Amino acid sequence: MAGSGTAHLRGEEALLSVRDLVVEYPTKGGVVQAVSKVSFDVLPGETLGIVGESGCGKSTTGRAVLRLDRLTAGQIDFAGERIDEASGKRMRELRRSIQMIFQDPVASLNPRRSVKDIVVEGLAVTGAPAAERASTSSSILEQVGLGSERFADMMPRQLSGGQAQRVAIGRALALHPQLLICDEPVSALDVSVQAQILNLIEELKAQFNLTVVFIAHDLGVVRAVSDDVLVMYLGKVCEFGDADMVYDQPAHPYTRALLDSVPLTDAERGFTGPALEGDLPSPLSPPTGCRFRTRCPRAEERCAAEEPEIQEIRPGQYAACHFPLSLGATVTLAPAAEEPAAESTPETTSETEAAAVPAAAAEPAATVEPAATIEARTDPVAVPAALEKPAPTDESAAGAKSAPLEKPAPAEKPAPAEKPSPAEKPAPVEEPVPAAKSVPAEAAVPAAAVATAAVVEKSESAGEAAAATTSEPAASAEDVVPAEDVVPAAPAATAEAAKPAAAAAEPVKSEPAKSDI
Amino acid sequence: MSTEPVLQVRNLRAYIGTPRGVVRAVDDVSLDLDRGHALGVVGESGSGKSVMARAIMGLMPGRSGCSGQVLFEGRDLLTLPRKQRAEIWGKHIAMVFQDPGRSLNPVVRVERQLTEGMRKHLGVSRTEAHGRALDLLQEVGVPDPEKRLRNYPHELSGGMRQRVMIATALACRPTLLIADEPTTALDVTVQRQILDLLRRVQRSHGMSMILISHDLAIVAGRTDRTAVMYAGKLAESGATREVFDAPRHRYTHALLEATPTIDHERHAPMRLITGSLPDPTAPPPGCRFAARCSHADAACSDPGPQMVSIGTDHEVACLSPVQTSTEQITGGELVGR
Repeated sequence: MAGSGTAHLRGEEALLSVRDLVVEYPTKGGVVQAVSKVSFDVLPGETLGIVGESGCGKSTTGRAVLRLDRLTAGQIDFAGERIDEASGKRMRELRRSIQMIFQDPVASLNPRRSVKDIVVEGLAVTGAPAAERASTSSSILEQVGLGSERFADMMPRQLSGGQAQRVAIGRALALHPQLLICDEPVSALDVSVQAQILNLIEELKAQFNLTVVFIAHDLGVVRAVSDDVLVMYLGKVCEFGDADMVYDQPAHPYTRALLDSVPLTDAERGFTGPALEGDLPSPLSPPTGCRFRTRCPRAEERCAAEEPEIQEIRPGQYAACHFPLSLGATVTLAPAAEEPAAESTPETTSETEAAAVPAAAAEPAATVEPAATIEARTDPVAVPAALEKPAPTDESAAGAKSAPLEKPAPAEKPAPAEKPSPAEKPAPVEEPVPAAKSVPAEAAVPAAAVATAAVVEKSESAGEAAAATTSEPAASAEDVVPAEDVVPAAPAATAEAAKPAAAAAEPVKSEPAKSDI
Repeated sequence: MSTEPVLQVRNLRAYIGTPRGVVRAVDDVSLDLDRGHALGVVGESGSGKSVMARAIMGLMPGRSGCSGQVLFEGRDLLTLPRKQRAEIWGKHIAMVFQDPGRSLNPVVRVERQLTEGMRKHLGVSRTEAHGRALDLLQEVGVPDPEKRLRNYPHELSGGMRQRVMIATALACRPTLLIADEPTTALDVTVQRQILDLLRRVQRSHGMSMILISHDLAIVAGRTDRTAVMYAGKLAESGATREVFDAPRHRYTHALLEATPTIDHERHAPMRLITGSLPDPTAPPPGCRFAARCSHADAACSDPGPQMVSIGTDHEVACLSPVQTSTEQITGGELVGR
């Protein structure tokens, strides 16, 4: 888990590339490294999903790209420009091309301004004339599904969560950004509304030629929108790859465990696999070597001694693990998943809870396939070990070996069921991966950049003040509790990200407006 | 053991006065819970599921807003004098709340919070309570219980706090456990642990449980029966397997379709439910889902649906329920084939 390394990077054509990003927060207990040497690339036109549990650094990563948090180290390139060392002034211009939407939709909107003004606050900062702002405002509101007259004059507190998120999306898109960072955009919303917002993001992505970084903890949501997925744990990258491959054939034990922990809307099977033991370790003193090893059923001494580098497990799929799950090993885990499928889940886990960690993995495997192999019986621990084969080259052998194991088990999961062919290695997923990634080659760039460049001068002084007071120091002060995604910090920063000058310039003006509430 | 349901809720209404009018949070809900069974209550925010739980516990401020009956082992909790209700709380009915950080007392050590109930209700000595507390923490999977007993809640992680909450709820071996969104504040791997734990203790204690969640999937694999609420009303209830395998109410069906799953096809549009919840202070007549339902007609608003039995162990309040392959609708009547 503890992955560092660059094997998974895609090089030059990326719109956004992040290299060895480190973000640290000082706390009373010491320095927390919320993001630790994370690297990734986002190609133009694609959606990168970042998943992980709280404290894994996914939000911090998103905020770091906008420089809402101070980077400790690392390099960030956007459209060929290094933004990790760009000046505050240049950053304000760049933020027109990189917009963000946040988790708490109501809190991320200025409570004293009406919907129609909020949507074009970014344009106001660029000095766009009032007439242009008004027309943009109504067309954007139309596009985010709030075309009705009555919304235009509403205040944020009068909106439902879904409507407020639509306004936030509209505000981001009014500047015609190239890159949209969505930080848990639907986790505060109900299921029925969540689907509306996800569809809206997908539609607008096509319409505006957007590249999207989609940060969420909900694996189902991420699957629905992502081309590639980055799985993080405790500030490190675990796994990266094409979304279908990562979900159907996870290579990292943590990804597997995450997927197994997602409750299913299926009365027969509570979960797809066994539970993960233990709690997240303290980010103040993360485990040595692989950070996941304290909870990993496959951990060995090597995992404590040496941090795994990211390596290619299968074409297009990368994991930072000394003992990645090969296709064959995935199969041995699958039968274990079927056992608890019957209502016996709680009992099974209760036993494993007490048992030593490695035994937990070995035991179900042994019970499921007693007839299959003799070795499995005599030495259950040897089975996973034999199938582990970290080197991708051994995979066909592992696959061939596991094929007979898999047959007797009821083919419950559709995905593994298709795989048993021994020749699986070269083409495990039929999909033409690279093709999917090539995407609209012509990054829709300049219009916004040009438009904004012209007005930079104007907004400068006001913007300076706003940015100085809010974005940097405020962020560091509030983020003293870092490992969590600090929600309160987000709204303040949002306002800034979208319209640096507006916040500073407007309060005086909007004071009287308040009285008509 | 009697076959009478542990809990019978009859025509429960909970109206809350607000400056904007009376919110009909729970409007005429009836349901039964059998001994040793787990009932899942699902619904989106505003469906009234949490208010219902509080109304059942008698935790609504100024009970004036509640009417109907909540029969717990034959006694109506709504009319029971406060002193007798206090006897029931903790001892016979216990509750686990969403946010374990806020429902534990921050300035009291774990041990006292765990043992308070049993010292009061069961009258056990301090040493015995200590021993029982250790057993309880062991049971809910808290490592190093002796040390944890001396901790304050802030020294525990979210998952550990929720385990302590559950241990506290179990302290007096209650007949009924109400868990209101017990895992919403937790990460997915920890949520998994807590859900497994709840189901395990519910079974091993022969306890009845109400598991409330906005997430259909949380209820799916871990309950015997499921009730779906929408805007204060019961839309559908029945055996969990029935409700999830063959949802009959249009709302349940749409909600299941709208839930993103981990095998969702990439970039495939989500099925969605258009519109939003009706105004809770002035709900529309008849079916409250009618305005968002693609199968609604005039009859849905007037006279509106009644809860009717459909199939085995399955009730639904819908005039044009989702058809299953073995049935067809003739003149509004459902005929089994």
